[in-house]
This record gives sequence, structure tokens and C-alpha cells, in this order.
Amino acid sequence: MKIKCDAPGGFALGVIFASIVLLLFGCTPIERQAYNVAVASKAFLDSAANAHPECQSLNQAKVCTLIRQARSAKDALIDAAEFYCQSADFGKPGVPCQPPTKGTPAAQIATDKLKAALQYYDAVTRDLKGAL
Amino acid sequence: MDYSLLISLGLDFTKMLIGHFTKAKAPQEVIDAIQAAYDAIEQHGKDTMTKEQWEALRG
Repeated sequence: MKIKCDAPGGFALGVIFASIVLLLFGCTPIERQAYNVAVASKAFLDSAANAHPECQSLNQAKVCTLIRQARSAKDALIDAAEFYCQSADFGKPGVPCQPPTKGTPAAQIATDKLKAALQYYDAVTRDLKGAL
Repeated sequence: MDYSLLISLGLDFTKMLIGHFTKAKAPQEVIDAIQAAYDAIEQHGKDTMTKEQWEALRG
């Protein structure tokens, strides 16, 4: 998809939340949802950081702080996802994410943790909404 | 906006809406960032989510 725009404004970030909500609550497995959010977040934040080179240092400007917070939330999401995907072979080259066995206490804990990380990321991104 | 409607209609429709809204209102840096995000999702859609792939998304 190619997006083109010539006019200024700030509404479009709201649309990001539509896609994030879609990713959070769609029909795909939660680990895939988390992966898509992390992929999109990484690309989005890298692009935003390029647009704000002043944020490369520890600038205390609001937009810089929010970009850093969003990166931290994304990395926390990755931590939760790796916990969710953890299996004996996870970490070996080429071994894909293997969700925990459904119905077990470990699966419930891992799922809750991953859901919480997704919700936290969503909350942090909402704060970023008004800053760009 | 009713996001639940978007959820029920799916990602392709959401992409179309993004194109519609951004065409009218968004600053270029936001457009570029959204474009980068969707390009990345399409590029990584077939990833098997190995630990290496997760780790590459840090930072």
C-alpha cells in the first residue's frame, strides 16, 4: 500500500490506533498479533526517530521522551512474547515460536503476561498520539 | 470512529481507510511512519517468529 499526502494535520495518528486495535483483537493467534505489533512499532518508531534527529541524544523534549517510552514498551512486549514462546528448543536457529499447551497454568500466565504487555504498549502509544 | 467496525471488516479495509484519512489530514512524517509500519508488516508476514527474529525487533 502506498500512502500519499500533501496536506498538514495530525489526525492520521488516530488511524494507527485503529490498526493497533485490529491487531490486538483480530482472529490471529496472540503471538502473531504481538509480532505484528512489534514489527510495526519498530518501523514506526525508527521512522519517527529519523524525523526527530534531536531525539538521538537524551533530549527531554516531550516527543523524544514518548518515543523512548514507546521503545521500552515494545521491548517489554518482546520480553513477554519470548516468555510466551518459550520451549525447550526456542532460541535454537530456525526454531519458531511454540505457544504453551493450552489449558495449563503456565499457558494462562504466559497469555496474561502477553496481553498485559500489549495493553501497556497500546496505552503508551496513545500518549505518543498528540506529540507527533 | 467506531473501531469495532474496523475490527470486523479486517486489515485490508483498515488500510484503505488509512489511505483515505491520511490523504486529507496527516503531516508527512506521520504518513512516512505509517507507511514504514505497514511495509514492515507485509515484509515480515511470513516470519516464523524465531528468537532471532524477535530479538531483531529490539531497540
